[in-house]
Amino acid sequence: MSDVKPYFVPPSALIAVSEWSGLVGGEWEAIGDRVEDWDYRTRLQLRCTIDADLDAVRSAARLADAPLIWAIGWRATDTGLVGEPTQLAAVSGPITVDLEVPPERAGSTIILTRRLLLAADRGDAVPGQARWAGSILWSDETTLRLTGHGAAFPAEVVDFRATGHDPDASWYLELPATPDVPVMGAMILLINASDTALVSAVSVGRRANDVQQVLLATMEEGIVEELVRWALHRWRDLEDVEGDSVGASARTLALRVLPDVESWTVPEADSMALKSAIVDGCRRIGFGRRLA
Amino acid sequence: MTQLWPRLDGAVVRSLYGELRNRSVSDLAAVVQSDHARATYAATGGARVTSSEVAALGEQLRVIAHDFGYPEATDDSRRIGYDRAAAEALFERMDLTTVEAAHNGVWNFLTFVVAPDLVRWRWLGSSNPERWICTDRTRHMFARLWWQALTFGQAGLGVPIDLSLLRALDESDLNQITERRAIAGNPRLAQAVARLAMSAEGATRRTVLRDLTPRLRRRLAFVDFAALTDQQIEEHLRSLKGGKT
Repeated sequence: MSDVKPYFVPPSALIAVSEWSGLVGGEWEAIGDRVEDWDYRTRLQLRCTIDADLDAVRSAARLADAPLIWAIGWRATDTGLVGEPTQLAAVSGPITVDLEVPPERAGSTIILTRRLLLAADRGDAVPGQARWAGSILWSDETTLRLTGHGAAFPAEVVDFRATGHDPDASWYLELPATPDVPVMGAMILLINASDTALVSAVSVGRRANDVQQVLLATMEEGIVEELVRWALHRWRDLEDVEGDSVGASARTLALRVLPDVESWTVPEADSMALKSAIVDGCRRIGFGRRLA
Repeated sequence: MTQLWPRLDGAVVRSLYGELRNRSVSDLAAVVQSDHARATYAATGGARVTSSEVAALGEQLRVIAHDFGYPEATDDSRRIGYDRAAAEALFERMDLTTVEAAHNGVWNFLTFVVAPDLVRWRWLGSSNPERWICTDRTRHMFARLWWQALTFGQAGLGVPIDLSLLRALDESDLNQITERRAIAGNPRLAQAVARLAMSAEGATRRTVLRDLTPRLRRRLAFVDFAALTDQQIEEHLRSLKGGKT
């Protein structure tokens, strides 16, 4: 979760990159944040330029004579799959890099990565110098959506009697057993179809009347409480949890809701006091009921 | 051309789970089908599988299951044996892109329509809905097998995928590796971790993996393993295991 590296890195200002462009109908065009009409047969061809003052980079990183490379690649946010990066020896001056994303191994959303890496192990590295091959000296990421639309909180109306949930409960937040799984698909809010008032409130969204707003706000507070408690229960596991995961989202939420989150991870923490603190934090960051 | 498999999502599978979750293997075998009125497909990107192709996969999975004791209750080692053999069949018969294979509905269709009897048999005594409803691909009955084959299979040009590495791993090994996306997401890295664990001398594989994987995850925060050669990866893992770095 931390971006602090155990060695010197160059300032980002020493490296300039272009926007990504894609090959469309034989022409290179800026691609923005999504690819129109991508399907499983589309081999994405992408291009960018990188310009760096390598002497200054080496000096800042204390790597005067170490071999450096550019690694231009991608990873899929839903599957976690990492593509084989295009690699080029790092030299000063602008270079153009091409990258292909094969359709058979892509993801619904991919993150394009541009990295400057140490090319080989350095057995004689002193403290503060990058030592291992692949050490990331500089990195840049661009999210690119290939399929679907932006995601709202995943929710579904189901019949609790048919699914084995408590039949008179209003909602149930399904959370995974492991924190590393992606948010989409692993976390879902089930709303009991029998609670017609709540179903109606969810359906009308922003047009909710006063009563419906109270129902939605109460559910919102409950969801925040469940997510925070889930995070607290496995707090140590979340320290190095993967990005885009349920664990990362729950950890971020807990840190926003509880100012002194560590103090609530102890087993003897008072449950009522915790609930009160969560509701307070939840309202402070804009969820749940507003008292004023 | 890659295949598009039927998908079953949302309220449909949750309702089906309520209907099927307490039925016996034989009851479930009687409701097996190869199509469902509420199934959907990806709009474009491949060829839809036919109903007979779907049925053939179900039949093959069932033939394999018979080799491991189906429909009778069986022991853990035979269940694991089934998993490995079924992974091979799934990966061979389902020509999926990873985007398609990341769609939970594809796997729900298999558990609720094509082979609910196999889910009950394989997970007899389990009440975990994740084996049925795909919310976590490392836990679902069929999704985890296909993805294990993708992660640990070694492809050669013009030859069938080699799954010998997968066959050599036990459940604990697989959980340690596949539940960590940053490791499993790079098959070359996942395979190197598996090989290192299997070559461990004087320590159990579980101990090696339990020790190695947290260190590796911390290292992944600032080392790009995708840019390393296989040899560089193996050297790095050996030094991590030995605690030299």
